[in-house]
Amino acid sequence: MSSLGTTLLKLALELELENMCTHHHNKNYTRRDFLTKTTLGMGALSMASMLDPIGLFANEQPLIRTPNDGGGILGKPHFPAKVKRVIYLFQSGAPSQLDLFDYKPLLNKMNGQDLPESVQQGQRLTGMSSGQASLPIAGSIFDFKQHGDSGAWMSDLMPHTSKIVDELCFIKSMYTEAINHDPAVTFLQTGSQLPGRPSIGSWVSYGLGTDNKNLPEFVVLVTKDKYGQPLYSRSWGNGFLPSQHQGVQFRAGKDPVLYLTNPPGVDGKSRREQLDHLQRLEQINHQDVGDPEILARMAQYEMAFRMQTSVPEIMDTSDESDYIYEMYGEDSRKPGTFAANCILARRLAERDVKFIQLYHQGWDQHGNLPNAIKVQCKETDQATAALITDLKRRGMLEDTLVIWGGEFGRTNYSQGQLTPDNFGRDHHPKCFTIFMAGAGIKKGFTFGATDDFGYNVVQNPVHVHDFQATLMHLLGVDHERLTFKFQGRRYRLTDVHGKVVKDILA
Amino acid sequence: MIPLEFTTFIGRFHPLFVHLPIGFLLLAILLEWYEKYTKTDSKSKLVPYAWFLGGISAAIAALCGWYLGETGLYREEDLFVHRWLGIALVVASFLGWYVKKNREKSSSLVQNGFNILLLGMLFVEGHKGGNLTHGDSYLTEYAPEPLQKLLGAEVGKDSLPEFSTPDSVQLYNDLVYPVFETKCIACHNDEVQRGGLNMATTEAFQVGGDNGPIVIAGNSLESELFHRITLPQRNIKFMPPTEETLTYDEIKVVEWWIEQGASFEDRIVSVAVTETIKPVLLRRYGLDTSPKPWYEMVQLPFLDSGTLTAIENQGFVVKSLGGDNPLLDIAYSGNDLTREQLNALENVKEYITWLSLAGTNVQDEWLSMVANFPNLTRLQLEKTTISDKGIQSIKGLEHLEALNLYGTRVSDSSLAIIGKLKELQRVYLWNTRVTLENAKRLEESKEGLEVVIGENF
Repeated sequence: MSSLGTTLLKLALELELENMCTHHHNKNYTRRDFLTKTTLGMGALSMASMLDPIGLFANEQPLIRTPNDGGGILGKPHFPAKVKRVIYLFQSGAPSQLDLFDYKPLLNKMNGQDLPESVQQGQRLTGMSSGQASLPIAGSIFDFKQHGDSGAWMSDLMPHTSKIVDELCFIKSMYTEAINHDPAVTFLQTGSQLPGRPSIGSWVSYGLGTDNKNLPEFVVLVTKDKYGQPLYSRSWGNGFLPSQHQGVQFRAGKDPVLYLTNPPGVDGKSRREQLDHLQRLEQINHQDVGDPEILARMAQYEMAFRMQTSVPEIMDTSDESDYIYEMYGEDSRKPGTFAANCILARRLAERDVKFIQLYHQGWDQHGNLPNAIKVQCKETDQATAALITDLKRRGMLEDTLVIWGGEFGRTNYSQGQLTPDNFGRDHHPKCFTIFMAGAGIKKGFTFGATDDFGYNVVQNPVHVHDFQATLMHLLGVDHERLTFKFQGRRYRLTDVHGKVVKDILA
Repeated sequence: MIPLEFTTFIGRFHPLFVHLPIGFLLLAILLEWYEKYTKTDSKSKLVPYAWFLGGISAAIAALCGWYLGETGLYREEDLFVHRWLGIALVVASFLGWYVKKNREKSSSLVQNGFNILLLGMLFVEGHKGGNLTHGDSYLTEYAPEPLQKLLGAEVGKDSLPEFSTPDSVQLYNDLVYPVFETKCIACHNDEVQRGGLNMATTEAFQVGGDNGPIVIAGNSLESELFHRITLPQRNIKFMPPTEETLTYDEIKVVEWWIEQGASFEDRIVSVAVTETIKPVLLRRYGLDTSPKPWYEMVQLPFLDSGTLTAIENQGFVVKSLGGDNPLLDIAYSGNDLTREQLNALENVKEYITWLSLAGTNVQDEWLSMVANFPNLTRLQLEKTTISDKGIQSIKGLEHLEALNLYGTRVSDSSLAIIGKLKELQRVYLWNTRVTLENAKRLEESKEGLEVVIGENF
């Protein structure tokens, strides 16, 4: 009690001093914060001591200085983590689960018939197909087979991934709330359909900190020259978290990270000196204004300086052998492709980057699905399988988690005209499939199921927030306890929802 | 039976009368204080009158309470305190009546002392009674979490029991009986016995119904009970005949209990936990029956920061596993590892459960130090020059679950030792001198061991 009293007194004095010295408003403590903390705090303490005078200080957690914590706000995970790092292969545009994983022979049997109202149950459709005179059921034209010891169903679109199904955990009962791309991507990445919240990778960086001080905790790789729905950089934004937690995009080409290299005529030494002086100035500025973003910016200057040597080392893949390129596929020799990014993802994971997110656009097949999806699969299938295989034989699946999936599913009926060899599929939030591989989850396992029409989830639904809660759980974080106070309220990735899907945990 | 039933009838008026003395006595004390506050000279006769009413109603409440307690539905030790404090309260109220009637005879200290004493008794007694009726957690169940912690309540209690470990859970009492209690016992109890069946006590349960026993141990399909709860719902014999049918999970629990011998004493650790029941136990009761990793079972006091800093100063990256787990995840990177640095780990050897020396210049001879780490579960030696000689010295690591040797010089002659590591589940041998054929043989020879040599692609 007395030590707390002294702390509060000191705090009060410091505040008073600060107010006397400067006219700036210190954002770290407001008058209101101070009053709330002191009055409520004292009240609570005295009440507790009345009710349970002995127990109040008896059960304190042993004080442990967290060793080498990497600067995460949690210090150490809430519980031992199975996963140390995540590689998230985000398939932007929403791949058709019905043509890849979710085998529904009934759709072939009823091909061309109108989707029964009893299945659709008045659920909303997008404006793109709601005006259609009929919603003709479209069976997949691709050949489905069971693979591996686990007997997972896969279409022939992904021959390479089909070979490693015994490493994978499929969730066939994912569902989301959004029906259009940007809200759905934002929802999956930040837990909210409205922009402005931190991305999963930012939360991880904020909570757990870094394992490699020379690289950012959260790195983003986007396949180049892919189009379709726009992909905004706010998908990997830090939202209201301090800005050093935002994802850093590595690009293909001469300048992997923009503005990282020194301008011509400036060498490393003068850069260092410049930064040192800047540090001192910013320090003064921070003492004066107290804006935490100043610290964030200083941290980023320093990170950028270290990245001047660490990034070229990562991006220079000349030490990869030929058979690696063969394994990841022809594309992998071309920087900026999904396959090349998969190799980079492995290199980043080997250097303990915590959250590595790849984006591959172009899955939004409203029309011409059969041809377009073939292209998409050709670009991603081999490299995805190679990445998982490569991580596995290096023993990295011990503590690395790979996730593959889009932002929602696609409809079981055709958008536009259905012909024997061509159709399109509209957005479908009611069910979609993702798969994962690696640490902490069951392998050769399929969780959840949709109905025979592939329209609604009938078993073990997994909401986006449940998926996020599970992901955090695997990283050793209780999703309910990693919060950030912003605009008067505590926020978390899963908002006020989310249940860990324990059934898929190994 | 009749007299007991009649007293129970009386007893159940306890909740009605029990609130009267609280009101009367509180009013009496407040009236007195109000008089004092307004400095009125004339002492109101209402004050002793309210005390008298309080005493009378307390006595009635106590009488009812006594009978209610006799029904045996309450925990004896809690009941004892509540019962005798209640009697004391009756006595104190009448004493108070006497004191207040003759207020001029005693000092205001005595007067107020009585007030305070009675207030205290009312609060404590009321609280004890509430706890008896509603359970200990009733008051705090929906309190904000910080407040719950302050009050020392158990946080996060759900209506379904959550068990922390499977060890203490009784199959019948904790899992099966609660199902019967909510779904069956309303019609099959000591009083009502539809079909001659009483499921309320184990003795009566074993007797069965009009057609004899309803459970045949080890055979759910032949058991009348299981038959009835799994009939088509439209069947007239389907049980229960209400809307409240058994859920899938509940049926699975009952089936499992019958299949495992329908014992009334077994704990779940002493019966076979089948693959079908595992997810049910996890989903419904939060019971994780899968074997725990070794690092979650080791119990050690936390290390102090001085010791940790000392290891860090040797160049190791030291991480706490997280939560209240005291164990450490230690890694070294770089080519300048020395024997002395490795020696420094000796001080914390029980604490190291994950160790990575991947990509370092670790030598075969140094591994004998690593072999002393009793709680090591994961060892990463990949991309080093470790050879068969080094592997020789780690054969004593009896809790090792994962061993990464990819990119080392180990060969087939290490496989015999690797195969003898008791708890080993995964070994990585890609890019070593181990042959595919022998790796396969090792995998086949040891149950539960995955040998990853990377022949895919």
